[in-house]
Amino acid sequence: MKREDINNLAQLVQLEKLEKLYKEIDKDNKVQVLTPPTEQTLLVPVRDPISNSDFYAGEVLVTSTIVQVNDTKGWSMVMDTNESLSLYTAVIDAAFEADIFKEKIVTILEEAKSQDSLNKEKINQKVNATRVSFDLM
Amino acid sequence: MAYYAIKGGEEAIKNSLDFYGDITKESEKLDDKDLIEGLTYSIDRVISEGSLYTKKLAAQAIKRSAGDLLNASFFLRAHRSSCQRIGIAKTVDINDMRLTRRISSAFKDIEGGQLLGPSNDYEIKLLVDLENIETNIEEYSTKDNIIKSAMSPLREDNLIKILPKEDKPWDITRSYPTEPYPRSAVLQVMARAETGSLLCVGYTTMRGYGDIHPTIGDLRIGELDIEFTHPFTKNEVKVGSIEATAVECVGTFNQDEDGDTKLTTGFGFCFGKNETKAISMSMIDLSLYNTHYSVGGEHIIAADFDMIMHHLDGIESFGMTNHFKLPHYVTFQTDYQIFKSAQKYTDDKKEEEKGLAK
Repeated sequence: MKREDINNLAQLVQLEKLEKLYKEIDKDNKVQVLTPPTEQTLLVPVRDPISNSDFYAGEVLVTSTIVQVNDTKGWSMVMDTNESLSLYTAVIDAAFEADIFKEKIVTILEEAKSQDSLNKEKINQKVNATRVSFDLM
Repeated sequence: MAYYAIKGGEEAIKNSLDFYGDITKESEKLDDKDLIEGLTYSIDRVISEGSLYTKKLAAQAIKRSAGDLLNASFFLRAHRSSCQRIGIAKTVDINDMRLTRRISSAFKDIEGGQLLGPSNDYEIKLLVDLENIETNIEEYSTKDNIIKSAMSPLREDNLIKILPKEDKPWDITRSYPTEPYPRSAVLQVMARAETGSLLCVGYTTMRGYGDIHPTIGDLRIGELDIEFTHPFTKNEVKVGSIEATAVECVGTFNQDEDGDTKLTTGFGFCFGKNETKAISMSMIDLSLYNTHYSVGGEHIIAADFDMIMHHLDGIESFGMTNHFKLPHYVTFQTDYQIFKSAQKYTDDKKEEEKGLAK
């Protein structure tokens, strides 16, 4: 697992599990919140197929946090307004980089990834069940 | 003319707000998650017209406005302006969409097939109890559907008219352009426009004021990944994914800049699941940039850039229309006094003429 996978995968984990992990990290390490969870927006450019140029379709609301665990900085940017999720994810990002609870982090995130894949497969089955080729009359 | 500042009435305003709270308070009992999942199309309309992708706040906004979706979009637009913009995500391409629905009415057999997805297009719209239909989908594939647009093969064969490339997209939220409007600004205006307004203008093209009958080349609904740069590793990170709708409609034939005859197309895109909006946008796009075969007179609303750029935003038109409710006492009294003076002048004149006649 790469550090870049954490931001997305942590959002798939149950919040209670993330909170527990965050508390374990916080217990034996110095966790500092450098930038508290803050609502921000990201502009979304979309490729226009007709001119092959970009245009802005709107903005996505995200919640970002920057923390420091001992000497390592961590960051998160999660979808929507989600202060706790953003804080826990940033701490996990730093802990992963600093090799703190790394194995446990990987296990929890991999579990969430597997569950998410199963959920997606079920949705895909529903989508694929609607594939149609109408007969011409 | 404008409305004038007023003062006083604090108690009546407070009581009015309290009364409004009384008649809408039941909405607060609705669970946000139930709203997001149960009224998913309402949520999607609000995030699209509010131009801010946040399902959580859209649920709260719908509750605060007791189901008035335009009012709810206003809440989101206002919230958007109170947030810091941290940056620009990586460009999303509709060909990368993980599809839940994808149809083409132009081509019967397309790569990846037609996917009806979740739709009630084929349901008879009668409010009778729904039959509980049992389905068995175990035998179907679990694989993702990431399929190129049905228009891609024609585009690769250079059969589709292309428009000039822009170096950098315009951002209408920072500065509003004047004519000639950059295409990126026109598309941005329509992507955040009010659905009903787009539908109305799009419909004019079907009723005899435009290209009359486009065909849906590719209509897709699905998920797109939002990516941003990790500030410490400087690598791309997936922030999450958004649901979106995209439509490419096909018009007739037209000449491109080199004089070659090509198929004309229009593009529509919006946040969430909103086919009507995306179809309408694609039809207006088609009309704006391909007037050659338009019928219905010289002045076609759907081909008028000024009309499109200044009349489709729901929040602006909603605000402007509702501002008429605010006290215009001075404005009206001025008009009224002028009217009365003119009337008196006319009456005096008539009397004077009568006197002279005698």
